[in-house]
Amino acid sequence: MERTDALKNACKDFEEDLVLFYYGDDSAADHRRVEEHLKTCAPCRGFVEDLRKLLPQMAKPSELPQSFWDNYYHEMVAKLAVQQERNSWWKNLFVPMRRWMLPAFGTAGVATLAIGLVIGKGNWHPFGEPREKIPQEILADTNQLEFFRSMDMIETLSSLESPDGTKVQPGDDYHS
Amino acid sequence: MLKRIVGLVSVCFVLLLPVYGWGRDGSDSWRGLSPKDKENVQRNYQRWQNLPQQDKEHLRQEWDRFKNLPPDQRDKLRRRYDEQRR
Repeated sequence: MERTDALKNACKDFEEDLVLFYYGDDSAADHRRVEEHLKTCAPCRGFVEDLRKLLPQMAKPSELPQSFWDNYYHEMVAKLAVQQERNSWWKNLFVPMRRWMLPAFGTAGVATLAIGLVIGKGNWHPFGEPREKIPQEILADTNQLEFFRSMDMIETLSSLESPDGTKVQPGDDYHS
Repeated sequence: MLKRIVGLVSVCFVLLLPVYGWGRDGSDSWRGLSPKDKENVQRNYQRWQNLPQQDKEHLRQEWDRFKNLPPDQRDKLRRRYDEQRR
């Protein structure tokens, strides 16, 4: 009640500054200005006095007995021991492998996939298509496939070019 | 940890993409051929294997020469070949 009266009596323009002044959160200039004001203003001085009396009581930490902290400590130690025991058996199982396991399995997986793709190149039919025995030389690339596809024509290439004398050399700018 | 694993797996897949693409290249073209063309390719391959080395080299040279011809010339030769076969 005393505090409420003091708040009422403090100058409205200085209320905020007085709180900052009390906590020391104001600037040097404001601090000097409030100090000057306090010299001449009794209600504001009363306000600051109330802050000095009431605020430490409000923020006063409750003192806990030593027995509480002793119990707290023993309880925490017991909990940590139980937790450690619960985790350790299966965690320890993988500890020696943990460092190399991931990269090793990753590398093995990638290598298997790469080798599988290279060896089974062109012969992989995931949806049960009938397997054809296709020589790898044919499937090496599209150029190879095109070569074997056009082989009959290539064999007769010279005769195909000769009838009307259209034989040209590579790079010649030919227009029919 | 999970983020790291996902990252590693992603990197592996990215690295495998070219291999996968190369692996699919020939087989995709093969699947696109008609049964007649497939039969023709396999027959030519068998013939190729029995050819003497010099004939193989000659054919390779002819193939390279054909590939380097202007596109219209290649088309013309293909048409002429098809006409002769009929």
